[in-house]
Amino acid sequence: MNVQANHTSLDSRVYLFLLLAGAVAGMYARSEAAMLALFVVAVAFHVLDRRIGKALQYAFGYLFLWGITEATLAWVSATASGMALSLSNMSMSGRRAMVPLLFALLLAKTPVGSLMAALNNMRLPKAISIGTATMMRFFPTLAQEYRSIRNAQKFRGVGVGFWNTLFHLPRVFSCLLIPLIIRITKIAEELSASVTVRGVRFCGEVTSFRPVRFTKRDMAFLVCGMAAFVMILSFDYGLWRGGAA
Amino acid sequence: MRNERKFMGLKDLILSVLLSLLMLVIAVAVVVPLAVLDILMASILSLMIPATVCGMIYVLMTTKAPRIGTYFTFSFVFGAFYVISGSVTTAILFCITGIIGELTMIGGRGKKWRAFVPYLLHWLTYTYAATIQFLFMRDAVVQTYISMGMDEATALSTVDMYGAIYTAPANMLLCGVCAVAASLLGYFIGVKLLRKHFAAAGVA
Repeated sequence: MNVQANHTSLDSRVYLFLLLAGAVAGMYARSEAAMLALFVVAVAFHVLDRRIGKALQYAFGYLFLWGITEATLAWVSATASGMALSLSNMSMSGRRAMVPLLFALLLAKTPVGSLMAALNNMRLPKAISIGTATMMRFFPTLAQEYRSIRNAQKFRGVGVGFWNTLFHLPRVFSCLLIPLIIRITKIAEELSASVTVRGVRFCGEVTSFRPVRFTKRDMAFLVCGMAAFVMILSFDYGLWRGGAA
Repeated sequence: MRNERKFMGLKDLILSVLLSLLMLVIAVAVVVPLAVLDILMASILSLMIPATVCGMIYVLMTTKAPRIGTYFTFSFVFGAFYVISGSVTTAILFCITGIIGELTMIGGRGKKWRAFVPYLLHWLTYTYAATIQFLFMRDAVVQTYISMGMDEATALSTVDMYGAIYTAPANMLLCGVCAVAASLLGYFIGVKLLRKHFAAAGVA
């Protein structure tokens, strides 16, 4: 059976390199147009991965944050309000972080075994590959656990409604946080037992059930992505007009 | 005789990563609602709340994985977040803090209060990361605001306003005292809760 037959995603190393490149490009982007172009490149990879619905959601998210930046900047210019500045900082940072985060989301979709084998092929220390794989899978689990605990607390009458939550904040917090910490500790134990059973160790070779290959197609997409980032920054810095803007 | 491992194992790594991520989520989630407050107040509260709340998670993490690598992992996870959000300087500061944290634990593993030092260093880095940027990288911050769409005059006045708040000696001292107090309180609560809840639940 060819397990990669229905697997349309690119190799996880493509997403990892683009994630790092996206973070650097986001850091050096100077104009709104460059930020938008970087975001469009990142979204294009989601579209290529046939995640059009998700890509639209991210686009709305970006527009929403852009709207907040614009509104708060006008507010800052008029009143020099600290709150407006904090909000504009957050919305700007959020948009900057969206580029690498979109690649991180694609990376998180990669099967854990393939991801670890791919990172191992890059000669990265095992601690990094295991840590990365754990991080990528953590957030959906955290959200699920949070919802379960929240529902259980509501059933007990803790944190029902806004005012109830506000007036009993310490109680709500402890009732929510302590079970969450205990659950995450248990999950960490189960996860470490699970990966040990699967033969993952700090020493020894990592193998993957799915074939892990960096194909010409992967290389082509990686080069295109990198070239797009370089071109966007070149335009942003005015290098194509013969000098820095 | 028990053969105690010095370096963190697979289980320790996974536990440290997951609990550090939980602390990171708390630190980030706290910042958003505090944006409505005054800058100094928001800065102090966005430091004090996570430093106090995360104490119990940190104590649990260091109790379950008191090995070389745990303290670095804690700071490294925060650093990785700052790389993604575009602040490499802060990320480097967190990595250095992680290394210093590991060094402070030499000869002190298993001692209850020694593990407080890396925790304190971590939150001091969290506190002073913005101050360092305003002190040493003012031009880069101005450039960031211009890229946000501000005109140069507004960007300069904004950076001056922020810089005046973050680099004022009285405010720096206040933030430092708050960081120490919140870290100490968080660690103390963590030690108490460890016995009350986590040991009772069989996780510590």
